[in-house]
Amino acid sequence: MNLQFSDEDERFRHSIRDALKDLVPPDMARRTRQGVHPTKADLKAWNRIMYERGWAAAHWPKEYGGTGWSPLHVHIFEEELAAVDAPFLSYFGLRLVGPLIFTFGTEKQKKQYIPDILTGDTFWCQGFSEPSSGSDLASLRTTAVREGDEYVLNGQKIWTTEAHYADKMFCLARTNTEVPPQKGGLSFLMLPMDDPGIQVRPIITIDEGHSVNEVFFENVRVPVTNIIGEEGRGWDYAKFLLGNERVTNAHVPRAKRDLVLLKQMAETELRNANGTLDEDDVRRRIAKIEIDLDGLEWAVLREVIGGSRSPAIASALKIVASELQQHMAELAVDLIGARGRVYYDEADLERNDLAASPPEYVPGLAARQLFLRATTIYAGSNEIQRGIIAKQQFGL
Amino acid sequence: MLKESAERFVSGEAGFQHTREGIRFSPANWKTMADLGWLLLMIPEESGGLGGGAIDAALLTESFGRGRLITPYISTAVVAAGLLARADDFSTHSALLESIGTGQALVALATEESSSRYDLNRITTAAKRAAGGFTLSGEKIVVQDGAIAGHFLVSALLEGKTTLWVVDKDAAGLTRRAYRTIDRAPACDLSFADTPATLVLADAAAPLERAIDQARVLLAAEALGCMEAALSITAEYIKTRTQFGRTLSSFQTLTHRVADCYVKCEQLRSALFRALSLIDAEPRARGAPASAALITAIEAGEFVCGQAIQLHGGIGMTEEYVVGHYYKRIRAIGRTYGDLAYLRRRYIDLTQRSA
Ligand SMILES: Cc1cc2nc3c(=O)[nH]c(=O)nc-3n(C[C@H](O)[C@H](O)[C@H](O)COP(=O)(O)OP(=O)(O)OC[C@H]3O[C@@H](n4cnc5c(N)ncnc54)[C@H](O)[C@@H]3O)c2cc1C
Repeated sequence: MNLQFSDEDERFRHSIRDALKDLVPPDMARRTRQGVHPTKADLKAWNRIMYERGWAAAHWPKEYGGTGWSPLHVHIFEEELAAVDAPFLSYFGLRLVGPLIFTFGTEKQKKQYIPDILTGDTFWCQGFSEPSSGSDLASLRTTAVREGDEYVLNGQKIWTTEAHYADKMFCLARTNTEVPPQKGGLSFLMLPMDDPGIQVRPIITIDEGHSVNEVFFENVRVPVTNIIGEEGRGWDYAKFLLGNERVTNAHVPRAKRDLVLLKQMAETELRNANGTLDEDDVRRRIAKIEIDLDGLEWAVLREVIGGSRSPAIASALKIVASELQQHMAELAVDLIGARGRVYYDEADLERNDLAASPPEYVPGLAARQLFLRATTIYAGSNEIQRGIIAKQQFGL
Repeated sequence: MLKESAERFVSGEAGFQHTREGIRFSPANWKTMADLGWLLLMIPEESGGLGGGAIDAALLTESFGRGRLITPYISTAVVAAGLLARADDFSTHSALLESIGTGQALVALATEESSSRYDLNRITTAAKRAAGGFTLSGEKIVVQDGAIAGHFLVSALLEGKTTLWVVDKDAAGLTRRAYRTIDRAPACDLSFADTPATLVLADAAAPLERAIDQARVLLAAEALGCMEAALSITAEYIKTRTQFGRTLSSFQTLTHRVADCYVKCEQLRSALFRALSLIDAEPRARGAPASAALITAIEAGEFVCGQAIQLHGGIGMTEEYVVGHYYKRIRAIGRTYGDLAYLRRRYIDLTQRSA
């Protein structure tokens, strides 16, 4: 495979770069660099800015409000966005449920939901995991029992990212307990989060941040028209979503930006450390990260321009990308010395006026490292991914 | 006996309790520790203490690790007490030392600066003669237990030498910015502007290194407590958690991971015993194994407590559950009295370069 950006690709890159100049408000850019959980206000504001340019869903087909760009151009676009520290747009509407609706939904559903996903007026969350069903998702217990023109939902979801931001949830529930979940037992339902039968409770993670939640359903009634696609095909749609995630989950554009920042930080720290940092060790670790990241980018580009489509590749990308994110965060914390054990609260991040003021990049690094421990757990744990590779690739 | 009473202490009221409060320091626990005589343990007999050894103190810190007890024990009752007991002019400091022993005084060690990176002699804070005594100017960062301390032991340069001073928290020209660390221990940054200070040691380099080597070994013991507790909780968890209709412990990749963790714990225990047996040896013979023990603790701790989170899945990531707190304590231990980069360099200096 020979991958070279054509002149046209480069022109495209420059037109994006010019258009993005000064588009991200500086304090939003700083929060994106320092924080690991975006604020709802930033997500909304940035979604609006992108929407007004027609770029909120760059990766979607034109007819649904996307750009119709080639996957390669979308990749270039995302790289340029990351380079200016633009917030990562809320994932669940634009990346997950939107494509699900325009692929499998009814015309009415498309009209009803797609416009607000594009503008960011409606935020979504994904209700898959349950307390006793994490890796073994198919065993989930939330039931949706049909009563006339309605489904009545009961059960509980957990680890629901951004449920506290969300206006709506798409979830998997058992619509038929007589048949196995993978063979007709599960359906995809859309729920309004303001239903009185839905209760959201925050879960604080070890970085002391709040991004995940528990969500409880008690007799939540939704019209049967809130089902996406056909009843009983929930498992197929879940697999469709996982397939869509294969490339975005690698987070290559953001990782490349993080590497640029990491290298700048390393130069600053090496200069200030005055010989007390092990320069060879720092540079070797950076080189290793860079080599792995360049490899990951090529793996993603191979997929993007129509590569293997083997399910084992998606799992390989997930393993490499998640570990890479962790290694980068660990190195960043190691670079800042004793300050790597300081807890900075949100007010510190905003004020940035600490007594012996550390550089702007310091607050937030320790918390980010802690939260990124989750990358090897979520989106299919790395143990589960290894199992998939062994099975899909080698029949083991 | 010390071990039993320490285990009883941490498994009772003093042990880990989930709290959303900021700093985790309990004056009541501290008083109990004083009543049990623990704060006198590392003070020499001739200075009114019990004259115990690092092995006794390690029994305590290992239990603190297991119980996830955050205390200023190492900074105050080991490092500060040990340094004050060796003061050039003991009579000046005997009262402060005595009140450490009774639990009334908390004394924090302030040596780290923005670009010192744990090297005790790479400092810029300076002492100078002033009317009626000496003053200090400069700044210190991430002073362990600094947010709750009443006094600070501060390193400073005087005529090219590393010297050690005691400074009252209310001294003129001292600014303290209090905060906490990721493991909810109290800490602070300090800045000194012609701040009056009293001399403790006119030649502090060697005694500081000795005191901090002790602290390193005690941190390694605490790390071991954290790791063994996190590991046994994890082994129990995978026996009960079911996915795919079977317990997680039926997946060999997970049981082998637990076994790897056990191996790391045992490696650390050996490194710790070795360091403890050499803790009173001459500087080179003491410093290398002390550094080695903490290096092992940092590396093994990252693996063991990191895997404790991993093997729990989502629940391991929550602030409410305990394994994440062990992990955070390990992360903090690994950047308190030296990090991997510093400790490896020191180890190499002590073992591969001639004196
Ligand atoms: C920060 C964060 C955000 C999340 N966001 C969302 C969200 O928005 N929506 C949502 O639905 N879910 C979300 N999740 C949930 C996530 O998908 C689950 O945590 C994940 O699937 C693991 O499930 P579990 O936590 O129940 O762990 P378990 O499945 O109980 O796993 C525990 C351990 O056992 C291992 N294990 C399990 N089965 C096997 C096996 N067969 N072989 C070998 N090892 C195995 C796992 O790898 C893990 O190490 C999020 C989780 C986190 C931590």
